[in-house]
Amino acid sequence: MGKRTLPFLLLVVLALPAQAGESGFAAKAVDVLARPAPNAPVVTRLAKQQSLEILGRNGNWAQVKSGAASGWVRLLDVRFNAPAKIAPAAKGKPLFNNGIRGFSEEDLLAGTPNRGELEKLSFYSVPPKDALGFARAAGLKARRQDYIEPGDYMSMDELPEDFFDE
Amino acid sequence: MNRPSPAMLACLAAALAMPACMMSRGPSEEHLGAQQEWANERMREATEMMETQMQDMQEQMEKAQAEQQRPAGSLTPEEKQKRAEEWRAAREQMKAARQQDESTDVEMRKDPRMAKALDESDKEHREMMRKDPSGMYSQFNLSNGEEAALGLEMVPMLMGQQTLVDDAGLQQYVNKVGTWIAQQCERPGLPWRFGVIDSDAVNAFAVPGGYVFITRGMLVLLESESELAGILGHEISHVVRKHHLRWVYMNKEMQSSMQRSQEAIRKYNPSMLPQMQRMDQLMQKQAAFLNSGPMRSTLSQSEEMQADTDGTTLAWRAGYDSYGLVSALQRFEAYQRPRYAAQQGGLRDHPEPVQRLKMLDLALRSRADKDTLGEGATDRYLEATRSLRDRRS
Repeated sequence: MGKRTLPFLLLVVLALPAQAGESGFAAKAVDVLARPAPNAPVVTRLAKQQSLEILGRNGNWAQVKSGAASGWVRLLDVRFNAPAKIAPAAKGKPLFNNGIRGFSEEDLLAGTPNRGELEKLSFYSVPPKDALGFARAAGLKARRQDYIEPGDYMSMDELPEDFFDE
Repeated sequence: MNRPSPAMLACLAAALAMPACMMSRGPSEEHLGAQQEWANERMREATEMMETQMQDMQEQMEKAQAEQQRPAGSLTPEEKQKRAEEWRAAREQMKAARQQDESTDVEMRKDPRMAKALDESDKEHREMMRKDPSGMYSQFNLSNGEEAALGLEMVPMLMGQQTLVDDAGLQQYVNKVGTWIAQQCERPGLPWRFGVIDSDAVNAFAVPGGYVFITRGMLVLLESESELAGILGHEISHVVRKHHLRWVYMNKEMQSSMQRSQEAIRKYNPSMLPQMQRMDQLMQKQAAFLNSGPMRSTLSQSEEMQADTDGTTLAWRAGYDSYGLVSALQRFEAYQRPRYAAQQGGLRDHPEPVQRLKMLDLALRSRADKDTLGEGATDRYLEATRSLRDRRS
């Protein structure tokens, strides 16, 4: 290990804890609770847009720190700050949609179809038995559950009044 | 939408053209002429009706879309109030419709035989949906092999010049996670393939037949395996529910019904042809509108939401924390926020990210907490994607 790499490594190690707490803000005025449970005692109250640090997540709850106070709020009540680490995509087509229109038109029509990549796609694929082996090693267990159907959770006439406010 | 579909109108027009031929042995020439004249008249009416409907629909959708494009923050208080009132009125309407449905059901079930029949058909439907959640078992029967072949045709076109990240370890990691989740869905037998595309864009998409792609940008944005599981689950759900095939099917169905009517008309009532061609043009225009315009995005919103809720279920079935997708969407929302604010002019293909989040949260809260918890696997994920993060910094 050279003399130059050591300070660099140190820097990386020291930078890690800062990464663990991600920055964000409160989506609305919200109580910070002592535990991730709806009836837990209130530690403090955050104003809408108040900045905070997100320390971790437990299911539907986010552990947050704001100033000296820390506690739990519903995951949905926090918003992450826009990440700086990914350059925004240059082309302005909608992202993350339901599929075939994933990339911009130009990309879809650009150049010759890349058959070589298709072969790689097969090459990288794993048979189900390997996936099962991965899951076993990772301690992931298959569980049974029905899909949530819209009727299970909403009819439009029951949506909260403020649903479209934000 | 409770309007007659163009395909139906075309069939109707074709049916109207029929009597002329069926009666051609019997009645006189004048009678036949009168028949054809009458059929032509109906065709003209149908064409005009369709034209007006299309115009109305287009105007309404464009207006609604333009309205929605504007973020709530930019509305004047009057506009805000107007929107709230419209919303309230729509809620009232839906409530009334739902009550109507319920009371009809109660009324029908008063007859025990009817009640039994309703129960049986419900049960049958549930059983069918369990086997094929797309609900398309009777409409569009492609075998897995045929569907995979269709997808295989599409993949090279979609990838174009994009390449896969040249990292076998990373690609296989994503394939292991994805294939494991796909084993929990109703179509485990598809040849599932997962690919990480070498692009900064934050994106994921699926292709019929079991092809799922995720970009390097998306992997860098995410922070845990449960978030990845949510995204892959979402994309797998599009394939399970055959969302893309529905569109392929709709277009095909429209074209073939048009063809059938044209053949019938050419054979039995050629005087109707000019009208028919006009109708054909209109329908092509409408098909283009349905596929690319505001209609397309409205229809795909419900598909997105279905894929969201299904995706969380698939991730949970595979042992992951259901809220992985919520968390991933939150990161995606943050990433998209600045772009989204700027992107008011264009069409939107997905529900507003915040509303999508709220809807998914609402859905997940219908489950007991214990039925949403599972593995997060943050460390394994960060380790597996380290090469991408190192590359960025």
